[in-house]
Amino acid sequence: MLGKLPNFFISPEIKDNPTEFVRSRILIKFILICFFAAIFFITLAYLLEIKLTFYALIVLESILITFLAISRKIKSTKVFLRFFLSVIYLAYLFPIIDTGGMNSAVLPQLIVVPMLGFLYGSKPEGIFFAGFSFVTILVFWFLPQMGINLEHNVIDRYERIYDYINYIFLFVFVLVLTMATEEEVETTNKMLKDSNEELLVTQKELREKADYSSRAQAILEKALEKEKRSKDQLKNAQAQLVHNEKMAFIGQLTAGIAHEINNPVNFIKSGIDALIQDISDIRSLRQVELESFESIVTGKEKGDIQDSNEVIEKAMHRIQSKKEEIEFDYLITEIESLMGSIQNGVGRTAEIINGLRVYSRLDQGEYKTSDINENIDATLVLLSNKYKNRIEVIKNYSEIPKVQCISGKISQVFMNLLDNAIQAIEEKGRIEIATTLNEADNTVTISIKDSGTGIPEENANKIFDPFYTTKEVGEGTGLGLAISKGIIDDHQGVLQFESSDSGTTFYVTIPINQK
Amino acid sequence: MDDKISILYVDDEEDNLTTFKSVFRREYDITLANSGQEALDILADKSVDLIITDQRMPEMSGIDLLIKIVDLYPKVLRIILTGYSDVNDVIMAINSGKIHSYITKPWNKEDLKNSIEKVLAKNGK
Repeated sequence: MLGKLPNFFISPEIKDNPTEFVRSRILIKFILICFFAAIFFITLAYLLEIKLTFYALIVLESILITFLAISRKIKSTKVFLRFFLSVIYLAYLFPIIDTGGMNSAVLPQLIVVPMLGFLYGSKPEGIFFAGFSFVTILVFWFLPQMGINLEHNVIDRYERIYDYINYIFLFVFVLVLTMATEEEVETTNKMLKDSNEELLVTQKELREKADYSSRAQAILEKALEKEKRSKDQLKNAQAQLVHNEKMAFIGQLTAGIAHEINNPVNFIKSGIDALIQDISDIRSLRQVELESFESIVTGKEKGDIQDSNEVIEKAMHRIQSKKEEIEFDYLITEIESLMGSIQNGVGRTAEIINGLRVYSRLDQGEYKTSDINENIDATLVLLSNKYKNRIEVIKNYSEIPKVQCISGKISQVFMNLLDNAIQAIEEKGRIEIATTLNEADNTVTISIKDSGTGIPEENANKIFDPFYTTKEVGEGTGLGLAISKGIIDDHQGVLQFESSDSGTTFYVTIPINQK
Repeated sequence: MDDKISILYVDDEEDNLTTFKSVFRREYDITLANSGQEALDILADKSVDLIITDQRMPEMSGIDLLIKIVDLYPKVLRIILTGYSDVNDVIMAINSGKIHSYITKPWNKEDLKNSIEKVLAKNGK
């Protein structure tokens, strides 16, 4: 209970600083002791009629009360201490003068001032007050030799008792000081220990946190690395799939070309075989004719007209029968017809190859003006084996200006959309293709409408997703529409669609000029 | 002329018909039809030894035609002409059309002739 009393007089701000707090605590404690001691000595001085001491102690007591009153406001112990030590010094000085100077029992108590200075202040305070006390003692020592004798003003019969009381007080002061020091050291230690423990706990917590965060960081790093690896893998897989799609597209192109070229090449080839046979027939006729003419010429040389007429007749007959044998008249018509067939075949092949122009430069396209209607036609030719005799294709082309585009890529989009349209129609059906010019915004719209089964509503928002496919494994990569959308986006265009159970319509809108 | 083997060639491409006839008219008695239906009409009037048909034709495909012929005129020998990559068509033609041989387009005169002769020889004609 009493131990906590000094705390009351200490500024709350100092309480946070253990060293300052302990110092202030000791000082307050000492002031309190001095306060009670002063009351005792004032009473004693009054009773023993030591007037100077009595007044001096009254002044001391009032200073101490003032100290205690304002102590909570004092934030620096150093100022406090210096002032307090000066006051204590003066409080001792007057009783010493009053009780005989060198012979006074109070004189040894001067040691308390530098002790306090050393213990609770710092070296300068200790040295200063030690010097002060030493000079004071010297002065008192010199005074008798200079003829000044200070008297012991205490009533004679109490003189001894007064001295004893002072000695006891000296002893008590020193004892209190020492004990206070020990106690405060303990308190300090305890406080330091507490704060040390607190620090240790904090340190431990920090270390745990650091451990945890470093572990978390390691995990995060690993996860990041893993993510990077799977991203790389994904990228590779995507590249592979895009490559596959390209290869599939090239396969589709090749198959289309092969199917379309098959028939014309077939009749060009067989036509030429037939022509070779026909020419060989004509050669054999020519041979017969030559031989016949030779026999006529030889007959004429012989001079016999009768014979010569016979020879001519024979020769003519041979020629005639050869002509009949090789069906000469038929042969001539046949040759004409074969020439016609070969011409047809060559024409059709040329047309197909010509159509392939729109597919050139699939990889690194540059923007060139291109006839969109022509592009669609070329694509239709390549796909014809897939829809011929099954699907009716209705073309509603408008007169549209040439469009700035990468022809090969745009044709790839048409190939994808038309191929999808063809696949959407299971048996027989109809595909309507329309091209229109939108003069308002200088764009063209190509619409491809099929009479297929339509896209179910739940799939409608997925059809442009990469790898989304409803086709059987191996039939589609699921990239066709995603790639088409990418191509149209690159052309600053829009790819949209609408679908119902009676079919789907895709709309490709692209600007005529690229900005 | 009567002892010539008779062949019915069916194709929807007019030019294929004329050139085929031009190539083989000397060896065989060739009849032409430009659709499956026409071929069936011809067969109703005239007996032939061998039928060669294209697979890709509108209305009635080569396989459909052969299926009917197997049913109606089982004695007629059957050869089918297909595109180079139509493996599924060939399989179907073998299984359903019970073809004796198949040729891929564009055909070669010598190969086609060999095939025809082989089919004829195997079946005793």
